[in-house]
Amino acid sequence: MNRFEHIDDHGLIDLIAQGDLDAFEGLYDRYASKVLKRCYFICLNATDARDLMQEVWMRVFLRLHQFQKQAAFSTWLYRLTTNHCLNFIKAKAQASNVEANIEAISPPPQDPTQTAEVHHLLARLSIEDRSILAMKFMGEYTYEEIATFYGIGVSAAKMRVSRLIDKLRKEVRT
Amino acid sequence: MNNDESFVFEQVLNALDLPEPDLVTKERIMKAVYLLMVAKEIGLFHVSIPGTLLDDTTYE
Repeated sequence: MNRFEHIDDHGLIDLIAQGDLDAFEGLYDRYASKVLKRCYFICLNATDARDLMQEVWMRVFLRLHQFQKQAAFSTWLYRLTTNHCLNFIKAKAQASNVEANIEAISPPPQDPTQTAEVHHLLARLSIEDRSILAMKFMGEYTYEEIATFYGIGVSAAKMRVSRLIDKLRKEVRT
Repeated sequence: MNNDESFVFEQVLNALDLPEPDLVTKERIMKAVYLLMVAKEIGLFHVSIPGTLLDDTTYE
């Protein structure tokens, strides 16, 4: 049995602050899969997603003392993940002057229908669209923050998110 | 946040059906964290962490 199973996130963070590395492992076990999915959503490349996840966890360790415990740890973690991944794809796009490395997308073979469709749908979205979705649903940025970041109106930001979600909804329900 | 929209987003993440993070990656992370902890304790923290690790608090 996992000895951290009954300790909540804040409890684990307290233990980590006391130098308990096993507690950090407990935190990793709890969230690694979720972080990996979020990294993949943004970069759409399995190797990059794994590398980004590693970097995210380094940053979690380095910055954990900054976490104020006023919000859920997951909120802080996913915001950090979002920012790190968005900075990565921005730097990558600038370096290669291309929007995305679509060739590297490799849908897992388990489900040839819906899974593959979702991968292809995400690949068809622009980096900006995926970034907006990531900011909204992973980073929990407000519409006002998204609008400011992209230089659009708040209602335009809401409309864009709503339109993108409608597209995704059709795909996951078919 | 709109719960229905968040739910759809989570469904999309789940539909990606990615494999679980592998053990090699986990071991690499834990080793790195251990080294960071040691470096921190012996006062090498400021020279052992590349500057790039310290500037991602916001999406710029």
